[in-house]
Amino acid sequence: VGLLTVHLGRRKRTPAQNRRREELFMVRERLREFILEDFMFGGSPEQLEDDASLLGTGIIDSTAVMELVAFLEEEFQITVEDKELVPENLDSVNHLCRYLEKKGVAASVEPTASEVQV
Amino acid sequence: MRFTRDVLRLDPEAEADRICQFIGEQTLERYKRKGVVVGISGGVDSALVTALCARALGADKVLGLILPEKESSPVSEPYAREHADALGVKVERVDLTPILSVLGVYERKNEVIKKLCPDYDPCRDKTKISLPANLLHQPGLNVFSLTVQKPDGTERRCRLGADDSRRIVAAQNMKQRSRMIQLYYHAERLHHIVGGTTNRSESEQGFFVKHGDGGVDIEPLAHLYKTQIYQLARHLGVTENILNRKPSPDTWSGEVTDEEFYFRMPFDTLDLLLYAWANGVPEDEVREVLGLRDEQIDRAFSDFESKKKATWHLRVAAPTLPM
Repeated sequence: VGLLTVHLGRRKRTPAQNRRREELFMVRERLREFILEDFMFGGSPEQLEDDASLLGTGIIDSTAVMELVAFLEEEFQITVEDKELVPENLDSVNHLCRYLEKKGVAASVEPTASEVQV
Repeated sequence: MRFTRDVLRLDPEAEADRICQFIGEQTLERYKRKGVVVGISGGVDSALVTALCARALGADKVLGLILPEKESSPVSEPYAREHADALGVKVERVDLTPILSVLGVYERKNEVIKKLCPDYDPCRDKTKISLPANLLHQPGLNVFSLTVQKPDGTERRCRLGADDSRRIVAAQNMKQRSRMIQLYYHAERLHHIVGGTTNRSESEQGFFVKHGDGGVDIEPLAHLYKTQIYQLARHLGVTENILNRKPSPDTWSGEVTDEEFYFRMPFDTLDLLLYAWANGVPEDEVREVLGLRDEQIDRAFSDFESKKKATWHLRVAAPTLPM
């Protein structure tokens, strides 16, 4: 993914934890790639902020939400239930990552304050 | 202006005069046409526009066009006729069913429905699409569900995917666009203009079809919220049948209201929230006046913002390049 992480005053991760972490970054990157290609038509990565509302910024509309749902179901082999169709699950990259974590696909992988991307 | 439950209250006589002056100036001075053609649906918006045009120009300068098709509500035509007759406005009727059949509207829509509900019988079953129930009480996203109603009253409901949703909406929108074609035929033959019936609640939130009911020459109601439309309609004597009818797109064989189809809350609350959102009313005032919780107000405002953003293209003319 091209991201190195510097740990400041934290316990060193095990190789298994690092592998898991890499997988999780890949989930985030796959989500970003899909959104950039399918909804932003090749927009630059800087234009997609991970905590920005996809509906509120006009990146997707309510019909495109279902395109996103179809992608999640196919790509991550999950079923999105009707009751899960809420902004708290689907309305930003961060929300999507947390939702996928709840569905057993990926853990939340937002960089913490003690980590610096270099 | 202080935000109260009465903030949208009108002086109906003064407002009617203002709109009539607008209709007269636009029709006679700007467009230099003799009158106005209005598509009358048996709903309150078109009834009000017809009444205002008749008051502004004279009933003989207005043509009410009734444009039913096989999925229209059976009360739409009699309600529209009753009101036009009371105004003394001439009415013509064009059945759109053959046109819509040739365009493949029913076939295209039924194909999608049949794929989702294989036992769907277009001759007997009724259908509709709707959004999740009241947004103030449940946070669900605006995802359409298709409902098939069997003659025995049983219902089958299924979520619409993006492709199916777009195919159905695209087919259905041909209904409004076919109405527009008929309205312009009659307007041109009579040297009239076409009067639009979109109100502010619909216009701001993108609840109209571009080049369909949005394809008109003037929009005399686009500055008024739906609840204000009712105030004026009552003042101008629109019939009780129309005033008591729940607003509906009337494009589905199954009964579906505007609230179920698009807005997800009653108009009296919707309009006050739309006003508060558009005018930057502080959230604590909204909470106090409407008795809503912060999360309900935030949810409504987010929904308004999303719908406005998603439908911006409906409200603009086609972009052009400078020379």
